[in-house]
Amino acid sequence: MTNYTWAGLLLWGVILLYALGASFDFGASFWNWWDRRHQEKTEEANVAERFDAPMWDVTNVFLVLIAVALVGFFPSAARAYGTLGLVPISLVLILLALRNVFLVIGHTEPSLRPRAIRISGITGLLLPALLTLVLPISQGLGLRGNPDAPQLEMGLLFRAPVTYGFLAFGLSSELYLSSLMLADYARQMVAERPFRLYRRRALWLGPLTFVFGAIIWALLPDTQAWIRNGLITSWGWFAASFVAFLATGFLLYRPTARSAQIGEWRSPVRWSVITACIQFFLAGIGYGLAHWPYVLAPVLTAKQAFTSPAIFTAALIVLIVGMAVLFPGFVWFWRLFMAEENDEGQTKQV
Amino acid sequence: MDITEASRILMGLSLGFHIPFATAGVGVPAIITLAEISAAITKDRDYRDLAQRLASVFAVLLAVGVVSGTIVAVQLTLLWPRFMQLVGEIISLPFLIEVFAFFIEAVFTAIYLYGGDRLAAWQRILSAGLVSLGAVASAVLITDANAFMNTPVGFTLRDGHVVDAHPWQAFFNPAFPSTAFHVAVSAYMTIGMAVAAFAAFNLLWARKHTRAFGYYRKTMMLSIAFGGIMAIATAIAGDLQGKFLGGHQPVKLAAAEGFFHTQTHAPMVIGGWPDATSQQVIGGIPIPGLLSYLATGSPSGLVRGLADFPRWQWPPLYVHLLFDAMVGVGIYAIAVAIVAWVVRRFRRSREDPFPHWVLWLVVAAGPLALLGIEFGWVFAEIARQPWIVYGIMQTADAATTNPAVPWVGVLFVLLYIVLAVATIRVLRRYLRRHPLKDAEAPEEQPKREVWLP
Repeated sequence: MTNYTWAGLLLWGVILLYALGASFDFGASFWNWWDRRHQEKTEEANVAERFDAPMWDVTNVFLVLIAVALVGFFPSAARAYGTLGLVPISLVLILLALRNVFLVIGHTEPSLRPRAIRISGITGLLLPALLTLVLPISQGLGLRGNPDAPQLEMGLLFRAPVTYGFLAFGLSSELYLSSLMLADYARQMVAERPFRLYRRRALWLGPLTFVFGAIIWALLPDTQAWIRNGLITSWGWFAASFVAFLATGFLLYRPTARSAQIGEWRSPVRWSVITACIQFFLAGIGYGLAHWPYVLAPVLTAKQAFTSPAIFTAALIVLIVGMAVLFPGFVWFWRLFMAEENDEGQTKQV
Repeated sequence: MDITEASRILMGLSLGFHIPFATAGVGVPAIITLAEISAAITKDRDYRDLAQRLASVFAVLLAVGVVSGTIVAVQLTLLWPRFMQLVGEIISLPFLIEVFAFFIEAVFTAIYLYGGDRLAAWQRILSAGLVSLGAVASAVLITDANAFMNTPVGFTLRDGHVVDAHPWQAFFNPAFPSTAFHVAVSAYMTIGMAVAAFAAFNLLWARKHTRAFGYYRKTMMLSIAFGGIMAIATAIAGDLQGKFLGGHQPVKLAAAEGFFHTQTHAPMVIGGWPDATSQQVIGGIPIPGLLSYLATGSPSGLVRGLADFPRWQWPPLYVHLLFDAMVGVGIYAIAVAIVAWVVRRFRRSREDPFPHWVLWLVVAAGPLALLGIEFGWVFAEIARQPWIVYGIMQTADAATTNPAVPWVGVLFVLLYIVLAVATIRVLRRYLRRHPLKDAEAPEEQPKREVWLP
């Protein structure tokens, strides 16, 4: 594998990880807002809110890492996306700023909490929709003008039916993944009613997501034949992804998956979260391979956009050393500080 | 409107909004750490309360700092695509390492905030210290990218692309040490002064022998001692910066001082208006030999003037006033700290060591210090013009060609207004809901208070 293939794989991996984490994060705040509109569902909303509180900072780190890795590994791609994406990316930044600041403000100041829930809930739907648009744009839909200085035309993008396929797919995956994860979270809190609701939601959102995925395929215009051929070539990944999807369904229909009383790893619901993540990861790799070697089709390939080898090596070393030092250190400290507190809590109960 | 000008205005607004929060992000955890250490040494509950209250404020300021920092980082790519391409080809390392530094800061902030009183004293000191370390590392790393814009080294440019790249040479560029030192200590000075000003303002209205009076007295003493020491460190850093500029960016130094004609024994002119046609500063107070000392370390050193450089390379001449305002704020901060120290030494009242006029001087130091940071950054950026990367790339060539900049800018201005109003409201409400009550006063008054020697 060449250097730029490694760089592309690494970047795409970070993007997929962010997509999963952000689905949980945005989805939880959407459900929190949605369920709070009805008095009788506050219990469900509380589960979502408890999950949402400490998450945003971590997902934000991943978002910044995507931007930094794109600039560091594919500087010309950063330049191209920066020029094209001024309007959509600025909208993402503004909504993200409102959402994150109000999440924290809602925690500090209880009187501003309803507003914080509304803002984070609505942006929890708008942001994934905007972020999903990156996919059709990266496929060259909506691009106009000469290949050296392409321009993005929103009208062109939104006149392509497949754009709506991507939007529907993006939103339903977000809601599917977050329902599944919240079902498991509710199970962990032994909250029977929220558990049942989120499991039910996952059961119909899963197949719906699958249908939307198929619709994207059907709506791909003839100008996009290159990616259709790529998708056919990487069919193995999609087949594996489909198996993981079936496994999720199988696990959710297990008799033991109907109760919140089943603990931790004995519960099929916990495993279904993992199989769902695997499903998206496999499909993500398949899509990434079909998209390769373009970072911005059809004007920019990874090879053209790649940084100098010296920078790549240095950046890779920094990334590896950073991850190797930070994450174990992080786990060690968390155990050291938070576990002690748990021990004390237990001794007090005794 | 010209797209380049619109991009510059929007970038300036975003940076101007981000700077106070970024400064607080560096300074506040340092004071929290000091307060935790003081609490451990003196066993005084007041210091622990100070740390706790600052931590709640910090959570909000950090959130705004994170989102505005994310905006600045991404906006660099949106508004200056050519520049960020160059960054990616040579100086992406500091940005990459900064992500990790920020990760440390975020994780230990979570541990410190959620852990709270359940953590042991040493754990609180350690996690606050690591928040502080992560924060200052972030600031230093981002400053490194800015330093590179002043002294770009470690590569050759061919057809607009970097060849023969040496990333670590670019990382340790000549401007890095003095600039990073200057940014870090001036952030400490500013937040020290800001916290002291807040405490002094409350001292003006608090009644003596109440819990609040003692609490704010200790807060003010701790933070002005810290801010004063850091103000002196900032002066030392500024002196290093002057000598660095004299060697590497003479045109920037000349613009800062409104200095036109190359000479030895160069005087420094305080204030005044640099006039391009007559090539001299109108008004102002000249101090003989001081500029030569700042630039070279000797009062007889040779300093290059603006006339040595082609006119198109001159930065706007008003940067002279920004520079003087920044230096003035630094001197004021040192003076206020010294006055507070002297007055307390002679007044010998333990309960009420500072008369009202001293408190008012301290109150003024807070907003002034924040302004000083803004002046300093505006100076640093404007006085590099017309270059975005000194000698390599001009600002106009780096700008985007997307015509949507002006109205996107309007949206960002609205966002900043919403965020500023929300931040102020939430902090005011927090303080109103958490008044200092006499009932919570420590039963036994500890004997020692943290102060200068």
